[in-house]
Amino acid sequence: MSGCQCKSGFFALRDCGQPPVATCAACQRAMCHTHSAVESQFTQCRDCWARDQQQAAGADPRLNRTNETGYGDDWAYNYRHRYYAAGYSPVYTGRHYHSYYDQYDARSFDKRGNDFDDGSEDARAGFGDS
Amino acid sequence: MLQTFRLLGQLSPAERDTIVSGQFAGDFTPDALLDQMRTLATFDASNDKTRGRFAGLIAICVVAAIAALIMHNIAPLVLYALATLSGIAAIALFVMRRRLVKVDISNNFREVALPFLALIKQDMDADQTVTVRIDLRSPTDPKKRRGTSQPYQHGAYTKIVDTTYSDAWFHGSAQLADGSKLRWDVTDEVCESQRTKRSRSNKSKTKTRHLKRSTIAVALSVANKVYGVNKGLASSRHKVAVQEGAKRRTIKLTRKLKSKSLDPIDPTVLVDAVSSAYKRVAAPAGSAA
Repeated sequence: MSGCQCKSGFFALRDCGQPPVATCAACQRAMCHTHSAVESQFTQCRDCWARDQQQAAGADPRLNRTNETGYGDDWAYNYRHRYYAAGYSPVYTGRHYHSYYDQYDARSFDKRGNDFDDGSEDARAGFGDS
Repeated sequence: MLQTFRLLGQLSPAERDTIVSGQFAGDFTPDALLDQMRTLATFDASNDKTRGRFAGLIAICVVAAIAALIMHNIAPLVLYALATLSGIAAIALFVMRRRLVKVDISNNFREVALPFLALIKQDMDADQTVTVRIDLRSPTDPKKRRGTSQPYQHGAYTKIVDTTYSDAWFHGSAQLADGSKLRWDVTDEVCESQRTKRSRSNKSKTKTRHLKRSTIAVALSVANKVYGVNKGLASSRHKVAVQEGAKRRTIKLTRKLKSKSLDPIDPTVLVDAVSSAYKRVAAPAGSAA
């Protein structure tokens, strides 16, 4: 997969695939502008930023009511990480497996007979029309 | 405090009309919806803080005026002036506070609807639309009153009057990126009980108590081509029903909650209802499974 390797969605995860603009300093995945965490000065993907934030703040699966009016995308990814960590296994509708999401136990993330996107190569290379 | 009036001045005529009408409704793209909601939520958060501060200042002014009148013999000229100024300040603050009360938005809007829709946005493509209808008025707005009981006695209470309100405050539907359709409804039934009793000193005291029953209903319609549905999964929290169709199956969940305050429900309850519906869908046939 040559596009952004982050997954979009909350209840159901899907591939992003937007053109990447950078590589996450933490997980080395290619990330698009949308999946770059604003609060990390665009050096980390939103998933890694959320994981770092949770380690700093402690696990709290409930919504943060002190966030009175913001509720931006960074907040949503932060909440998504906490919600998954609290036990929700999202369903995955995409085609590019990445081991990054294994810890969430996402349903349908098995590698059987499909693309395996470990970030090192384009899993579909060689199968397209030339 | 002045920032609230500045924010009020910065609201567009359409946003002011929305607040005055008490209805936030329409079809929006996710980004447009959240932009509009954040503007109103920012104003409302500031409004709530300012009204709280005004209430404190009004109390201080009233106490200062009364104290100055009681102690006027000490320095009549100064204390009469202080009483007058405190009285004028209290009236001015009261008028400003009343103005802010008229444009108050129910906390349901920014504490439940906004975070929930910020999460729904994640499951939508940027060009898809979400339809919402959010009631911005207080749950005990007179227009939501459904009935008032005849006064009755119970235990130590000499007079109890129950007033019921029906507040269907949050309705919405969205087409999601995975092809599913999500609908949700949140309705609060509120019983406001005014209870009067006589104290030992024979004074009449009235307390107001609230009992709120919230009904959260979610319907997730999934395409048969995309998802299977696990109908056997039980839920201890939700009442679940699966409606079969030729092209789509609809998972319907309902949950009822009771509360003794008018505070907004925890938005996690609404998120849990949708996630509970998604727990019932089987992995898509064409995905990595």
